[in-house]
Amino acid sequence: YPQKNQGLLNRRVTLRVERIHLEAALEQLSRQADVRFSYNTRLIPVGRPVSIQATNEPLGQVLDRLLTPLNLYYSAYSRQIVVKPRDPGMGLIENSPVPSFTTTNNVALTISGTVTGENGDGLPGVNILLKGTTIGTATNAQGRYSLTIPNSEGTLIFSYIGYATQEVAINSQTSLNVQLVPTNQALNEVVVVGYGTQRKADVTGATATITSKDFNTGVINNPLQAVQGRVAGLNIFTNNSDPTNNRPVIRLRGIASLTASAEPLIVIDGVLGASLNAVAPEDIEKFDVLKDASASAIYGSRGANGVIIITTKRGRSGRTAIDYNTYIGFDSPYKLPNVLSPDEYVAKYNELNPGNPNTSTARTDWFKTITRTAVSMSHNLGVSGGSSTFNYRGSVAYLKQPGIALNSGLDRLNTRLNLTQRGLNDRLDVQLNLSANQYNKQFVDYAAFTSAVGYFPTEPVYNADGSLNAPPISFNNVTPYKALTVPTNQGRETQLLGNLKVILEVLPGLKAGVNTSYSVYNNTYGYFRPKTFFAINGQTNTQVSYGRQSSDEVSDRLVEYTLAYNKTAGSHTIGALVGYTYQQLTTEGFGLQAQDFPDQFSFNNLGSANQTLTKNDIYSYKSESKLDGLLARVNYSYRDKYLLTANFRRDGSSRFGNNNRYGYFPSVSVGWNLTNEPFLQNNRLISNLKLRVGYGVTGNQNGISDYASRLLYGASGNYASPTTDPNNPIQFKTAYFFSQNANPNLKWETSATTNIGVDFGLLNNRLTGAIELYNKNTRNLLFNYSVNPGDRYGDGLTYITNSFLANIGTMNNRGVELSLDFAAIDKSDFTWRTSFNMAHNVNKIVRLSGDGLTFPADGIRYGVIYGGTNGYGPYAVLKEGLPVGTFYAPKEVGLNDKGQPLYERFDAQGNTLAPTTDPGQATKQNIGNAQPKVTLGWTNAFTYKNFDLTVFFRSSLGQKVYNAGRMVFDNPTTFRAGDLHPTNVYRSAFEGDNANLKVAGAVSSRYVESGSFVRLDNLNLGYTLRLQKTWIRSVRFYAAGQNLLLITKYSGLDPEVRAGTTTNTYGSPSNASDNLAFGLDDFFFYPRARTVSVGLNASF
Amino acid sequence: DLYNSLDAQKYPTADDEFQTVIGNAYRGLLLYYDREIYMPLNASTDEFTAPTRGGGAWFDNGRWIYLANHTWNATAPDLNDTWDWCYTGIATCNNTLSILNASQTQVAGKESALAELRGLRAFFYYLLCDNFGNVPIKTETTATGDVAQSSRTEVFNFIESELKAIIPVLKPTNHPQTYSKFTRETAQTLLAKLYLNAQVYTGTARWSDVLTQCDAVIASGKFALNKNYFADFSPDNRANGSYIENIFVIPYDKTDYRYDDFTGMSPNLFTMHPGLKDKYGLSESPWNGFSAIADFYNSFDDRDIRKQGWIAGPQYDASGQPIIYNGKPLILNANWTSLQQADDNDGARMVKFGMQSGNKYRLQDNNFPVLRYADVLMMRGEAAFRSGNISGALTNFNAVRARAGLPAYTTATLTLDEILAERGREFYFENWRRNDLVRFDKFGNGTWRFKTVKDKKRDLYPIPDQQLSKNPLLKQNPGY
Repeated sequence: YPQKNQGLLNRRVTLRVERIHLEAALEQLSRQADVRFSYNTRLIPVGRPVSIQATNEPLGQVLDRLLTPLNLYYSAYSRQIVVKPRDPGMGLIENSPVPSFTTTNNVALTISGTVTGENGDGLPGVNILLKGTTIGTATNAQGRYSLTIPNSEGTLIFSYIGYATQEVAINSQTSLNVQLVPTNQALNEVVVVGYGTQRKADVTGATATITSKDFNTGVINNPLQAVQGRVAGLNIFTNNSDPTNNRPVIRLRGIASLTASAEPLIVIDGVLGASLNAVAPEDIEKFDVLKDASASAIYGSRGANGVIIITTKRGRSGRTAIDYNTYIGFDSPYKLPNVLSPDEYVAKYNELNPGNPNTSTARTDWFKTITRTAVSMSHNLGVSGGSSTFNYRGSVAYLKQPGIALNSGLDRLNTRLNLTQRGLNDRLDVQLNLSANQYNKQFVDYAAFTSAVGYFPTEPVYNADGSLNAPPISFNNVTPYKALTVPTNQGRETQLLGNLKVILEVLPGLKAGVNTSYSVYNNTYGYFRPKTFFAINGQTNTQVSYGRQSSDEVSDRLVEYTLAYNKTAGSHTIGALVGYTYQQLTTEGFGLQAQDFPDQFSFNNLGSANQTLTKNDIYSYKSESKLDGLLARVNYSYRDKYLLTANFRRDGSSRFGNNNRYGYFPSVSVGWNLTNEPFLQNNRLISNLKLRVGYGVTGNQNGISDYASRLLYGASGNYASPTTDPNNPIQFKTAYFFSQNANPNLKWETSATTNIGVDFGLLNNRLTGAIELYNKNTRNLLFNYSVNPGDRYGDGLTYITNSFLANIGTMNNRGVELSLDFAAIDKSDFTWRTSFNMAHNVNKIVRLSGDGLTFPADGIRYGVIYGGTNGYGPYAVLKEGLPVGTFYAPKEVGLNDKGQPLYERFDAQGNTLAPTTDPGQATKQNIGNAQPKVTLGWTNAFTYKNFDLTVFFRSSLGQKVYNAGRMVFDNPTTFRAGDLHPTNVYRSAFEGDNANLKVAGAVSSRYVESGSFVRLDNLNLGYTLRLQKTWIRSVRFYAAGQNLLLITKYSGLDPEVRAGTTTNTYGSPSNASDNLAFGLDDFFFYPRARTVSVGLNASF
Repeated sequence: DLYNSLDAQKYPTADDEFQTVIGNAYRGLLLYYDREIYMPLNASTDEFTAPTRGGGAWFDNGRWIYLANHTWNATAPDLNDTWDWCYTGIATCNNTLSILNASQTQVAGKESALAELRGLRAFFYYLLCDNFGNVPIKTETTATGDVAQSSRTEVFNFIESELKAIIPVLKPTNHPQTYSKFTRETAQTLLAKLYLNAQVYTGTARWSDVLTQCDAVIASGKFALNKNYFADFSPDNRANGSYIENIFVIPYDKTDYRYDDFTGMSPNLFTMHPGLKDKYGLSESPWNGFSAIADFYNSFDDRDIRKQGWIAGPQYDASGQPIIYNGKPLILNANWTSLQQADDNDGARMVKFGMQSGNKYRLQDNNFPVLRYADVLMMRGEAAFRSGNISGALTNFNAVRARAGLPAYTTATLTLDEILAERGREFYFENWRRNDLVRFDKFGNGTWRFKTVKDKKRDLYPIPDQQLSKNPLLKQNPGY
């Protein structure tokens, strides 16, 4: 009988693998430890996928962790280790190797218990080992275990991937329940990288992962609100608290597109370009943000602005888990405009109009009449569970979120069912995700808020007879209250998604996958205005009711085939992926309007209208785009030290001209894990250090219209066609003509990014972090050039309109990002974790001319501000050498003695001329920029016994805001003597420098203010009751606050204003010109709320 | 695949499809009387303006003030809008000419259609020449890329040669089939208008050429003065036989707009006082905008029936009761004085383009007469007067005077000043006032209530800044 060889099992090995075959894992161990494994392949499941993370551990310990969950054990003889299935009839003891130290004959002890995770659920497959021995077992599907040990002394080691290993002294106990704590070890986190996953340690691109435990809390309107401020370089902008405004502006690492969409690609569970609101925030497990080209290049033509990958929660095998969350939230306006109170208004009027006093008795604070404390309510139920081959999770989330404006709000219902089935001896993996969502929205006319600022406080809300007041004042007969409460303005969005993935392991290491999805988004919109809307006090109302209704549908079909191969051979680990993807997006819709029907119908019976429909009252449309791509990726790592990732993608888009339909997007990145080098091993300070360098090219075609490159005819309105009837000599017919300037050379916008990153962990990874440096050059920018109608271009074409979409410009974004995570205190009853992120980005338009199109040297100004009746502006510029979002207008140098602002003026050589009072003659110059210099997020999370507290600050520094409202309301000339109905103004209009103004406001530096702020964005205090003995696992009560405190010098309501345009469900910017002129505190606004909520999370 | 657009390689192919494309070229004219684009440029005259009223209504970022005061500069959006509109019209004509020229299809009346398109294009160049002077000439055969400016004289010559070339090809007016089309007589009237202002455009007067073209129109025998002046402008003027006087009209259709789009015929909205909404049976509360400048309104003799195209003074409803607005009887104050702090009732309002009572649309159906036979007579009279043929002039002017219910001019009363004033009374709100004032050197060099500084350079508008920045070959007009 050969001698058992314990020394063999003490050899140190390192093995880090994710879901590789047992056979492959054993092969790696055999090379490292110089041993031979022998087993019967018919008895041992050599093809079972296994995952293990072991660094410099004894071979025996590694084998325990690897084999015990598989119900295998081993014996070591000489240089050979025999692996056998455990005989179900026999106890572990009899078949296990005799522990080297057991020499006594103490009575054996059987210990049993349950191992639970952070939320009290049983954890299946936890390895349990008697310290210093190979005696061990693993928990079953319910997290229970039972282990017999030779005596009553010793220590049990509980280990599980993703959780901190715990050692518990036995002390003769026969029942040991253990709760494992998730590790902070970023290294073992898995990053979803697109068409696969990678260990964080192996990633060579710039990525960030935020899991649900770190989400923002409170009333969460949309998924991205949950991660606002949590990722360095990822900026989520919501400019108000309108619940229907549930699609924030997303910018990753600055702005890299002008006319095209500047938003990152959203991928939900592998569905590309998904609608952000296709998932409830509560159903999200984690966000992976791919920041640089080496990470996002696998998405090729759509990766230029980065990628946000959302992974939804799935069931786990084991006991059924039920989670129920609910909260009630209270929204109220954070700040109201500081206008003259009704009494001050009257006093000022009387002061300016002596002898003609305002005798009105009504006193109305219009802002208060149209706002309210809105009470939101949310319920969210998730049920999950499964067996070893099947798991499920189903959930329902409901949020009713009324707005702080009367008659506004959101009501959303999200349902989701995620199923996973494994089969064919774990070679087949089938995932089916189904979701259905509905959003009911009541929209608000933002003009009502502008109106409320200036509206006459001596007008009552109601007339004496109880009817709504409608004073006969030109353009002002609709009071703010009436504007909000009388019309109906609502939409219903429905979204259905089916997503099926089938992955088959064809050969060991080789997996073929199919990913298909079909989603339909439908938006039904209706507007109705009763005939009373324009009624004026004391006048006969000849108005008629008006209604319109429209329906839009977007259907998105996706099919992807992938073939992936992973192989580890000795020190070499190689992964390869090839794939093909095809996506087809169809948008279609119709709408109609009619007037003059009984008010009771609202917009639901437009056919009953008395007024005949004309062709201008109906429309329908449909368009389609197709995208297909070939993709390939290679990962290589040598001894976990040297890492390489290379991506290649070729994409074709139907949106581009035949000449340039296909684009090629390569990337390569390398990484060096210094920690695995001998000189850093066992370093007490540095526990992880990795350097990464990557370069890649990505593209963008989002946000341009489906047929942008083509020469098309469209209906262009009526023309008069003569008849022979002298009583009616013409009839109107529809004319057709070119609908756009065709550009057969239209092509991809491409971004080339270089990224250098360092990941580090200090003090046994108590302090972890990353630093990223990047430089991104975007070329062939898609931009709507201003051209001269009538000029001829290209091959026999004539500009027919003054806008021409072409790829010419170049833009640069450079920046640095820092993220830190520090487990400052980690005691059993008190912990403090602090996380900090910071990003700095510098944006610059390098060039906008070329190909025969000359961009004016002095730039083009954008951003006409719609105030008053016809607007001011423009206030922003697009100019070579300046960043996007630059404010460009006359610079005021003071007032002259006539109360006129004086503006700086220079001649062509730059010599200073005498200042002018005419803004048109003044020199336009750079007077600030709307892009922040630095964005910051800082989280502090504390736990004390059963209490937990999270405090999150968000800050944005260095950006400027154009305060449009002040042009009208911060000027004493708005409140003129002799005006029977002067517009109300801010109190500050009569204070300081303003009081001397004698002319109306004009766009100038006077209204540019610093927008820097620090916001106490999120605060959450919770108390958890752990109720392990009953059917309720745990209950957590909490109170949360959002936007509790704002520290800023900005004089308006809130300095966080519109930051560009969002992407609508069609993938198009909802208003592309907003991408060129932002940072505007608009005339038309909706105030921001402060929210306080209370809620509970219960786990069953 | 295409769904809601037509592929240019497959459209137009048949004759009726070509007609829809030719029809489109006419559509560009709609903005001629749009309150946002071209028409506002006449708020720079002594005829009307939009004063700023209570609550800042019609302040519009100073737009009406700089037009009324003659303090505009090259950044004024009105100017750029007009420039863009004219060149869009020209580009449409050029493109349509190319399409027609290239097509192998038998298009009915192709030769005259080509001539009509050149005529429309000449009309847009006429507006550019009149307003901006030195502008680039772009045709369907111009080389690619930016186009340099032509001098005002070159633009004049181009328009003249185009009109002369197409007159023999164009269809002669044939009522009613040629209604609203660019006919031979349209071209002749436009050519007369060009010659009438030749001294302004080129420095050389062409009075005899005015006479020739006017005589040709008169000789066609197709036109006469309409007995009822207001019938020329009424909402039903397409069907009431007004083509007897209206040589070239732009047809407007009240239904041809989409929600919240106001492009089109809207005198009901842009001038009317809201207190008169019910009296005129309007569906929308009017905007209380354009008002006659007091001296212009007062230049009408009370016997002049054309004065009934304005309303002023106390307003009464159909039953003769005073109209109460905002608690007070509504009295439109014709003799108003404040441009920037006007009361809601300040200014006489225009009703020459009749209000379309009971109309439930925002827009009206009045077709707009660009060129009228009355203008042919008055152009002829003016040319005769300036050529020394006073009796010929008297005949022409007195025909128009007689219809207005006014005593005839005599050799003693007919003067250049009187011609200018009479043209104002005949053509108010027809987009000719600025053109006339410039010809009589009373625009830049004139003064009136809201315009007190003489500045000859303002006879031309500046080349818009936006255009200068797009086309480096453009040079600014003198003085700007």
